Parts: sequence; C-alpha cells; structure tokens
Amino acid sequence: MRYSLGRKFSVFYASLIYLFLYMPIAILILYSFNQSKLNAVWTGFTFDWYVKLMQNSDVLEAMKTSLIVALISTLAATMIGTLAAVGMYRYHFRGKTALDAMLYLPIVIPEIVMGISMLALFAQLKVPLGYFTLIAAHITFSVPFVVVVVRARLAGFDKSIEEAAMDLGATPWQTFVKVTMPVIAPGILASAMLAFTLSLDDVIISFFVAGPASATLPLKIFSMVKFGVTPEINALSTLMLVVTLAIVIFAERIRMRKE
Amino acid sequence: MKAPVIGSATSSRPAATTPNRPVRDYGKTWTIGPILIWMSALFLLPLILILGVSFFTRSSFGGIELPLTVENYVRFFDPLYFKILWISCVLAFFTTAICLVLGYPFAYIVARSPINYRNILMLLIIVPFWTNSLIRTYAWIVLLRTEGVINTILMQLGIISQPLPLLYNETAVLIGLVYTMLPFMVLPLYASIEKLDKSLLEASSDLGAKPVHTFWKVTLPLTAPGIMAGSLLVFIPSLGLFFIPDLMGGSKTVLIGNLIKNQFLTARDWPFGSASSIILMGLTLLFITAYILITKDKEGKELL
Amino acid sequence: MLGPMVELQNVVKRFGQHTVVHDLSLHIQKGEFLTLLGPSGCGKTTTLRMIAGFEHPTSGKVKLDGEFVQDLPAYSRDVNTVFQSYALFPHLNAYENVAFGLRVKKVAREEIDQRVKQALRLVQLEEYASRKPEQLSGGQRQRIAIARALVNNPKVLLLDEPLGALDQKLRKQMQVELKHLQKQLGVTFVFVTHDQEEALTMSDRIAVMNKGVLEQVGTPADIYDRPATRFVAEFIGETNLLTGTVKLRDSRRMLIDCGGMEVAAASLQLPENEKVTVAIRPEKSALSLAPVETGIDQLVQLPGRLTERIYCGGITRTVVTLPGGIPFVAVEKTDQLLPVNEGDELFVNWQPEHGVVLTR
Repeated sequence: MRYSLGRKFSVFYASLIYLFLYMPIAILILYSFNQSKLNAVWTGFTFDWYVKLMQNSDVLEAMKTSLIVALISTLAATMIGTLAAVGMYRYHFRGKTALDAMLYLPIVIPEIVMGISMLALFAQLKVPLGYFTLIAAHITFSVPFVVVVVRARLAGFDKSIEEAAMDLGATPWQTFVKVTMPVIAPGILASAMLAFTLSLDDVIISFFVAGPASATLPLKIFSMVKFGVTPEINALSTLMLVVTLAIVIFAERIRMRKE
Repeated sequence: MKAPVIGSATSSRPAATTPNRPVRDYGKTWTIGPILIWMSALFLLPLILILGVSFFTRSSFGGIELPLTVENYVRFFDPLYFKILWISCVLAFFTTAICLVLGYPFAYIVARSPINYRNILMLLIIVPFWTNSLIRTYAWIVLLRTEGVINTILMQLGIISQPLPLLYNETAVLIGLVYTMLPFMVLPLYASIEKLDKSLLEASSDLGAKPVHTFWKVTLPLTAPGIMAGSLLVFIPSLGLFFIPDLMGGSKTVLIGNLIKNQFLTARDWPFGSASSIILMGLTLLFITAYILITKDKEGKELL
Repeated sequence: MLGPMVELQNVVKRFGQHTVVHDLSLHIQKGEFLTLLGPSGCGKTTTLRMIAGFEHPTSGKVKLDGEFVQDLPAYSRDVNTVFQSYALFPHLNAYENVAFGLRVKKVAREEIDQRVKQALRLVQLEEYASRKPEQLSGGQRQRIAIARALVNNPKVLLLDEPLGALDQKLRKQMQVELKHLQKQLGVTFVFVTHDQEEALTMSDRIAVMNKGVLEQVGTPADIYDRPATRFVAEFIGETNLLTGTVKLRDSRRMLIDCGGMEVAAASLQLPENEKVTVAIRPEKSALSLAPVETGIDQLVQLPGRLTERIYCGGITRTVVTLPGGIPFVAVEKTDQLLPVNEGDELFVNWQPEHGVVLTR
C-alpha cells in the first residue's frame, strides 16, 4: 500500500515524458494525411501528399543522393573502422593514445566545426562540392563510431580462441576470416547500421560540403521548411521516420539475439 | 594502473610469435594504416587548416590574404560577438539543466522498472534518439506556428481570439533544443542508474538514512559520471545546432553556430569564421578535459 | 524486560503467487547468536530482510525489543545489516563508510570521530581509514562492513552470508573473529548461511529452514543429534536413512521393519504400522566380521557386503550394501581397518538409542 502512491506518480511522470517525446511526431504523421494544405484544421483523410511527393523530381533526386551517399560511406566507413578496431585490439604501437584521441575527438566536438573545416579543405584544394565531398565527409564522421562499436564487441572477445585457431594451423588471415570475423560480425553489422543512420540523418556537416546539385534529403527538408510548412514535408518526414524506425528495430533485434 | 600490464603484453608478444610469423607485421600496416591516413587527411588536416586561416586577413574578394594577425580573435571579444557566445552558453546551459531535471527522474523510473518491460521502454527512448533532429524540430514548428496545431485548437475552443506568437522567440528555441537533446541526456543517465547496485541503497536505508538522504548521499554521487556524460552530450551540440535557432528563432536569435555558418556562407569572412570555430572548439575541449579530470578514476569513457 | 529481542509471529511473505515464507514464528533472545540455515531459496534471506525492513511481511508481525516494527521502513529500525556483497559505498573511504550511519543521524562531529575510530580499532583496520573500498582486500572490506554496522550500536546485527565471498582459510578465521566479537559485545546476531559447518561452529541456536518452512530450532547439538525431520537429518552432516513401519512397541523400545531388516529404536508414542524413517550417523555405527552375541533390543545388527572404502586421512569411510541394495556409510579408523575386501560379507551395528526415529 505504502508504495502505490510513488508508483502511480512514476507511471504518470514517465507517461508525460513519453508524451512529450512522441506527441509532436504523432501529430506530424497525422497531418501528413490531412487534406487541407493551408492550416491545421482537419478537413479529411488523403494520400495525396505522398503521391505529390513521388512526383516531385527534386525530392526524388535528394532521396537518390541520400541513399547513394549513405550506402557508399557506410561501406567504406565500416571497412576502415573494422580494420582499425581489430588492429587496435590486436597490436600495440607507438602513438596509439594519439590515435585514440583522434578518433574520440570527432565524436565530441561540435559537428559545425568539422563541417566548416572540411569545407575549408575542399575549397583550398579546389575540389568541387558534390557527391565526392559528401561521401568523404560522411565517411569521416562515421568511422570513429564504427571503431567504438566494433571495439566494444571485441572487448568481450576471448583472445585464446584466436590462439587456438593458430595453434591448429590457421594463418593470421585465415584466423581473421574464419574465427575473428564471425564472432565480431554482430558488432560490425550494428556499426554499419549506425553509420547508415548517421549518414541518412546528418544535417550540419552535409550543409557545408554538399554542392547545389547534390542536396541530401535532410538538406532538401531544411530548404523546404525555410519556405514554410506544407503537408508534403510532413509526408516526407513520415517516410524518413519509418525508415529510421525499421533500422532501429532491426538493430535492437540483433542486439537482443547477441545477449 | 593499466600501463604496466599493456607494457608487459607488448614485450612478451613479439618474442613468442614474431620469429616464425613475420606476416603479422603487415597486419599492423593494413589495419591501422587506412584509418590513420583517412583521419589525418580529412579530420586533422582541416582542423589545422582553419587554425591557420584564423590568423589571416580577409581579402576584399572574400578570400584570405596576408598579413598574419590575431585581429580575428580580438574581434570575437568585441561586445557584439561576445554577447552571442554568452547567449549561446546561457541557452546551452538552460537546455542542459532542463534536460537533466526532466531526464533524471525519467531515467530513474525506467531503470528501476520491472525487467520484463524495461527493454521496450528503452526502445521507446532510443527511437527518438535516432530520429532525424531536423524532423523533430519541424514537428514543433507544425505545433507552434501561427496557423499551427496549438493555435488552431485554442482558437476553435474559443480560448483565444488572436493566434499566440509561440514561434520565433527564445522560448521556442529552448523547447526545440530540449526536445532534440533530451534522449542524449537520458541514455547515459539510464546506463549509470541501472548499474547502481541496489544493495547500496538498502545499506544506506539500513544505516538510518531516509530516502531523501539516500538520494543525496548515495544515488547522486554514484550516478555523477552519467550526469556529467549526459550534460556534455547535451551542452556541446547545443552550441552548434544552427538550424534550430534558424527555423524556430527566426532572425531574432543568433547563436555561435549561426555566427560561424554566416561567416562562411553569407559574410564570406573565412578568417573570422575560422577563429570563431577555433574558440568554440577550445571551449569544447575545456569542458571535455574538465569532464575527464573529474571522472578520472571512475569509468569515464561512457560518452557513448 | 526480559522478553525476546526479535519476535516473528506467524510471518508470511508472498511475491506474487509465490509464497517464500510460510507462517513462520521464531523468538530470538537478547545476546544470542542465532543462525538461519537452509539451502538457497529456502526463505532464510527473505526472513532476514523482513527483520531488517527491506521487505514487509504479507501477513504476520515482527517485534523488535518489545515493539511492533513490521510496518516501519529500514531506516527507522535499530538493526543493522552486513550484506553478502558488503555493499560498501564505492565513493566513500573506509572512515566515511563507517561514519555514514552516524552522520545521517546528525551525531556530533567529535563523537562521530571517536566512535568511528573505536569501531575501526575493533576490526583492526585503523590504518586503513582513508582507503577506498576498491583498495581493500576481500577480508578487509568484510571487516569495514561489520564496523559500519556495529558503530551504530544496533539492537540486532543481521549478517547475510557475510563470509560467502571469502576463500576457505579466511573464512575459518573470520568465523572465529565474528564469534569473539559477538561474545565481547553481547550484541544479538542473526546470521544467514547455507553452510551447515559454519552454522554448527558459530551459533548458540540454529533455525533450519526449507522451502519457506521452519523445520527445527535448537542448539547445534540438538540439531545434529536429534534432528526433528528427515530434511534436517539429511541437510546437516551425513546420515544413513532407513525407512520402514513400526511393528512392535513397548514402553522402552520399538521394533521397526525396514524391508525385512529389523531395527530397534527408542520407543515413541506411535501407532503400529506407522511409516517412519530411522536416521543413523556414520560415526555412531560400527562394523564387525561376525554378529555380536547380544539381544535384538541391545544392539541393531544388519548383514551387508563391503562395496567401497574411501580414504579420508585418519578415518576411512566404508560403504556397505545392505539387503535390498540400500547403501550404508560407516566410519572406520584408518589404522584399525577390518580385514575384509570389497565384496566380502560383514555386519553393521549400532545402539538402538542412536537411531533417530523421524515421522516427517
């Protein structure tokens, strides 16, 4: 009896926070199905805005850009990051602490600093802004996250099984492919999904390094929002939310299976 | 404490494996090499570059020219610009404080909820964490704008006759920042509260401490690393999230993020923009160093 | 006021559908060392936690020094606990850990200092006052946990398997130290353990629990020599159990038929054909090559075959298979083994009063 008041308050408070977190998103989704273009009065249910969206060549172009950039940068960042995580786990070398710091910094410094510094670099080297600069920038901010996730997975890795493989005659490369890789595979997959979402969601860094012809989806949304609120943006946001949700649930599934 | 262990492992390893397996030496090159080259070229070099640019003079065409000068840094402390830094810090501070006050009890409740639905409650926090912050900002614009949901509902209910100016002020920016950053506060708090050994709370109660005392003397000190990690994860990005003031503050609220952005894209004063970035980064490093020093021997690397 | 220090009256504890403690009543005297003994999951820790105030009984009452406390939270009870994991506050040093209880009670600064130092002296850790828990060894943490509890002058000290995390040698040493401490201070100790040897060596009285039920309360000798139930007989020490039915009974002896074997035992008020179990400790039985010439009511004698001998240093445990394939363990002195080999026939015997007749 004594605790029920506290528990009721807990449930009430937690519900309020969840409401705060989800209510705006729910309303956003709801209004992507509203017929009225002008204001928030509910005038009827429609799929029109999704149809319009699919006819908007700018939006489709941005979707394509986002996907290409996300796929290529994820692939590259996952490869570079996984190799580095394995190397840092297995070897000891001079400057390891410095490398640690260099990977830690991009995670903590404001994104805007990374964005403008890369812009400065590309400008100095006269590299035209476009797909190439976008992909390079996305790889750069994803790699440290990949290293962190894969290293966390490796931390729970029993070194003696690698030694056992070598003891049974496997070369270092065979050991890596047949023993190390399968064990850390969930970590690699998780890091790849993280890199993919980071790339898909990034606004600030992309804002500086994207060219006029290579706007990503978030950048497209940004410029659309500047001109005002339209149900089309609601529809586009809803689509992106669905993709994010699918990735998060997939990632959680993998994490649960691991445990 | 850990250094000698690593040292001994290094010294014993080559002796055991190198003679018959020279292949391993390439391993180091192929694993560490790519990242070293990549991050040096695209992270370190650009930082050094803007550090350099920050000491140049702006040319009349928006480029840079000699002479070298510290004028850009001096200019930053001009009341006009320094006020921007000050307001940014105040806003970031309030964002952090509100996130902490809202987030701590919330993280506590979730971390202490029955195990069978704790996972789903956590998932519900992770989802907004991964949701595009721009979209989440936009969601509030839909609610707050003049023809927005809140004004429409209030007017239809006859509570107000004129729409309220909910958007384009500092409160709106604060709401946007808190909404965007709250998950970044909750996750580290949750991690540190969940790790808290329940028997410590019982021990405190056993020794005569009332729940309030237990909270101040045991729970709070032991979850301090989570509080600091969360605060850092909220405070630093809050300084740089230029699109929230852009979209929700109108032109009224200029924060350091907007200042830097404008110097590069509108005013085309790269040296001053670079100097502002370096100051922002210096400020960030200051906070991180403080964080590392404070949580030195407690497991400090929980930023993620 | 010489009532019991702790009194549990018909205490029941349920977690959801699961009943962890069934209708438990127990008196613990002032200055007594009482051990709650039982296998894991028997409800002993829950019982202790109800005395501490971390759990509240579903029904029943808890009395502490004459006052009902079952509804009071832990922080308003004059009892202190030594936790299984020690639960030392990792952010406070040894001194501050010990001082914690006094500080929250707003005891004067000088008095805190004096009492903390005294408590640290008691556990011989004065020099370690400024160490953090992580800088202390397992045994030292244990002592700080004890000092932290005792410094508050509790009416009762509760100890939840406090020696479980220590290695064998340290454990033995701490058993002796704890017992000394308890005698020296005269504080009532309630000690929870699953280790029967620990319980036998340290306790004034032992309360044996099984599946949430109090099986027997008594001195170590009571529990060992006169177990009240089959569970107690089996859980404490090693026991041979023979089941059978009561055949004949007079005022002094009764005869029990255990699958054809006739076993005499001290008479109890039991009807004929009652099902019973006879428990015989290995060291109370003896072996002989041939039957000893005496009456059936003087000595129980059963034929059997030698199955196995296990060398245990000064003694040897000898397993004999009785008719019906029932194994029986006896003890021989290693330097006085009977001249028999595995498979040879021999006789097991014991005095009827050494067989304990159990009805549950």
